[in-house]
Amino acid sequence: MKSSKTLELIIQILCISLALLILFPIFYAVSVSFMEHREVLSKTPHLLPKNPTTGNYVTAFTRTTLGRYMLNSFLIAAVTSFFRLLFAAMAAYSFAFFEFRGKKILFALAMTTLMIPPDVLIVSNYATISKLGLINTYTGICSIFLVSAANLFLVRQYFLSFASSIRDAAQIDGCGSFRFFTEILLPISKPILVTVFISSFVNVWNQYLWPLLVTNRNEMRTIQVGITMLKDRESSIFGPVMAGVTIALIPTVLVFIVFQRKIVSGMMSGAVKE
Amino acid sequence: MKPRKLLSLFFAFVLLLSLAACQKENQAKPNTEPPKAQTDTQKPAEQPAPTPTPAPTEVVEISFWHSMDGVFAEIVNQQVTTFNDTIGKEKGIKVTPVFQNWPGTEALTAAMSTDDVKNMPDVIQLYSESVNLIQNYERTVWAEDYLAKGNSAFQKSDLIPNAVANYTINERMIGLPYTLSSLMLYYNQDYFKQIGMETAPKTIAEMAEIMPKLVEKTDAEFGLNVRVQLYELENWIATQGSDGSWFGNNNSGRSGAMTELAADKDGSLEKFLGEWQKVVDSGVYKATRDSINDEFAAGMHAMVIMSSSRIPTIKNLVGDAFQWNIAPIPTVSASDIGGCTPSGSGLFMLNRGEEKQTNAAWEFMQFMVSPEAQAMWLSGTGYIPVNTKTKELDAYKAAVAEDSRLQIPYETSLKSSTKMVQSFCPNSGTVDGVIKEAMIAFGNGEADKDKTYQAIVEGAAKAFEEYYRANPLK
Amino acid sequence: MKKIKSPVRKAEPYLWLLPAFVLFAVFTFIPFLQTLWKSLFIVDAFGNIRQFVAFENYAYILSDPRFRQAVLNSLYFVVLTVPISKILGLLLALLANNRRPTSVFYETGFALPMAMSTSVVAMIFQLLYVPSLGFINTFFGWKVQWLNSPKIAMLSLAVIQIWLSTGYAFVFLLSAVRSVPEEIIESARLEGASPFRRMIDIYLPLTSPTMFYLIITDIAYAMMMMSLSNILTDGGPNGATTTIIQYIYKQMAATGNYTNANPAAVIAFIMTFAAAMLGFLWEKKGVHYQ
Repeated sequence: MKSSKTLELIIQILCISLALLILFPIFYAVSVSFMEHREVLSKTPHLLPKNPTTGNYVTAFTRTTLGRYMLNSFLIAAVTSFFRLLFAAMAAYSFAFFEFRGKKILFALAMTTLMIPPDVLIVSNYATISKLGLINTYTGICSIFLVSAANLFLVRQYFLSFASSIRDAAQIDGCGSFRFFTEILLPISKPILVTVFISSFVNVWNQYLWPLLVTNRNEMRTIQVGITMLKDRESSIFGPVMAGVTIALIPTVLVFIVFQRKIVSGMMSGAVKE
Repeated sequence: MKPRKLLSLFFAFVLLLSLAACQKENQAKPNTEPPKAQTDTQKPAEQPAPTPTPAPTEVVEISFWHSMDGVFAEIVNQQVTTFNDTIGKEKGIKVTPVFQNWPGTEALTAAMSTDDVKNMPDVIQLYSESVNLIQNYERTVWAEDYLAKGNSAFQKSDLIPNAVANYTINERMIGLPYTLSSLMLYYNQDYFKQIGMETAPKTIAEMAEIMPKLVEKTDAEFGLNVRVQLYELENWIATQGSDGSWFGNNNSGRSGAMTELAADKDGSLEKFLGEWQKVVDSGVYKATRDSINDEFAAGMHAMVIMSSSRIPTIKNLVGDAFQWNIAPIPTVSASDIGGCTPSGSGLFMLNRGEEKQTNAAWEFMQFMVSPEAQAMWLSGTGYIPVNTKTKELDAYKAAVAEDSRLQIPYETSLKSSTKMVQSFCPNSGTVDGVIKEAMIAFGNGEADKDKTYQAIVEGAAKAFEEYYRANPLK
Repeated sequence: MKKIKSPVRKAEPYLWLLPAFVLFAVFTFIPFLQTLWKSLFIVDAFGNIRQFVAFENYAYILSDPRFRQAVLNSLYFVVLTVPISKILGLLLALLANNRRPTSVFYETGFALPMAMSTSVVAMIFQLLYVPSLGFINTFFGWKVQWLNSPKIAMLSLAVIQIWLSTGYAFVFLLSAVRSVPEEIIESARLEGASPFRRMIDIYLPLTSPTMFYLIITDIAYAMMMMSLSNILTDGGPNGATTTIIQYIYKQMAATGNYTNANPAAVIAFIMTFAAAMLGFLWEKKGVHYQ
């Protein structure tokens, strides 16, 4: 008993040191955001700022409308992720619970969207959005992200792991297909849906090129574009951009910590416990 | 139950946000924009913006795209605000600056290929290598057409000659020079004193000669750091001879499409590589570029060659650690004219269908090259004012009095021959890469002079061939 | 109770798929078919079709050593990053399996890299990697040319990618590991299986649906890598880090050369597809759905 307790303690210490090691680049970025320019790169390594300064943050906020960008990004990421979740669950439901003609082909087709380089499609997609008059709109920014084959795939994997048993049980109860989807399937899939939501939120939050291309008004720009504005390509001054990075991290980290317990509560355990 | 509660709370929050965002958007939208764009996403906001100040007359809105970040963007915004508050107010013009991804072509090409006039800029800042993109474009409005009317606020002769030449094709100006910097030699004066040198070397051979001494007798690790790419190489080609040399054929693209190098035919490339061999042989040359600003400031390099736009950065980094100065880049031969090619960007106009827009855009263009607007570069950037009348302004005098080094790139540019322009090199990104790789291999001793020469000439030819295969000349 | 399927019942599975496929069609399939079609033409910088050349564009880029190098680099990058990040992710997940008082801290720590955008991470590592004055070299007193040496540069980029995708793999594998039924572990323990055997015999097969998902998506993701080499190395030194997508991006964004970009995109698709197919073959044999 005692030895297993020490083992647990050792594992915890090991885990925490590993976590610190993994987080090092992020800590370093935060630290740089408080440094003066000349401290960042010097012959003696500086891990922490000697004279911490908030000047970089002041610069970040005065140079750009960072608050507005965050709001835009938050809105876009949240709404998009909701739709991704919905469409992925619907499609995965079809793929996991039904037998129909062309199922394999359609699934393969959906998967091919993962393998098509998105950067190649960007000009065509711009043309589509521009013809629809959606440049400079939230709809325009969200449009190409509304469905993700990766999300579809993940939810399908989850559904497949208990497909037949649950469906049979529900059918015996005389549960209709739509009711089965909304009242049984979605609730028991909470852990996976939360996971999809988080990963999709993070993914959309971090998008850069497309939101930049389909907006040409400052008030429609997103946080990643804002970070680029702080970058100072010419003189490579890192303070303000790292301040921007740190600020941009706060919402994602918060979303992460809030939903953390849900993510890891386990894919299967959801099915078993509810 | 809990998750549902959380979810509903979340959506309430999202709704709240979207309302707030929508409202803000309404405030910022100009009245000329068709309302369709915003109603698609959100329900119409409940009330109009609080204070829509009615303009005295009709206001022409023009959109200005630039790819300036950091402190440079700050100054761009300052210039635009000044215009809007003065000339703009007077003439009923409002300019909205829009940041675009460097080098500023991505959104432009997307709009161009769909002829999306609604989402094009009236004025756009582009670098010389992008001039190829717009010089045959039907919507490009040539600055010359406005200059020819003769009622502009400035004369061509007010501007730095080779900056004018840089945006002149077949004797006509396509755009106006806007940001200007030049390649400069930065040197550590403390180190120079330690070896008994007062001034910067005039030629590459002189530079190569002092490099070993500098490393031997001072704390410097390297005598020189510069990564030679297309821009650097062009400088050393253009500054050769008694009146400068062309890098590419057809006057580097100024009198017809540039389809091949000229520097290999007139021997200037060979000559440069021959001199550069001496730098390589010194054994204390760093050919790669990492954090050149910080390394110079840390005393690692006795000399570095980079753009004059870094002056304020270096000043801030070095502080009082040592004395440093800048000088024109050393020439290939002692008899060369020297000077620099203009680096930086120009402003270009696009016709979005309405003449009053283009007229307004020209007003704005004129302001941006005015002495007042150009003087703003002096606070915080090392950009050279393109308008020579800037020199008469107190702002210029004050800036130079505070840091006399700012004057050096200006004087160097002013004296440079109009032959010294950046070539309209097709497929310039690839050519740049070819030169960079070849010169690093040369600098590290992995390739000899002949192999380097061959790599550059053949690599450039291949890049040109690739370009004209996709874009056949008519 | 069996009844004859009505047309509505027959159509039902398709209706569930409708929203996803409408979006796929508009934003992916149709534009990609256009790319496929246009890859048979000379296309100028404004996107205008100039001349039909059949497969000449393919022959042209395939004869370009830079393109061939980019193809190999992309495959190398996939091989470097995909297996390691999955193994590390699984090991971390097994380590974190039991809930402990400090779980929240280290679980968040392990997972957080997935919240970072690639371009931001690239900027951070750019600072850390500076050979002369960067933190890593100055701290350890090394002189490693992280991004300047053709041999090391790709490894340096792979480290960043592994860092990014291990966090992602960890999150998914942790939930998979935790959902392995307690009884199975218990009976294995009673039979005296070593921790290593338990991993091979129990955890690997039982987490395989998740692992399968991770591998397929990460192959596609790694194959599409561009921003790391765009920001950190610009494809250099000597093209050692030019990936296939970066080749395409440079052709498009820098020179508007769709004539080369279109066929390159099709080749990138075929390569990724082939790699993913290997994964799907494995699904038939090695992936266990309960």
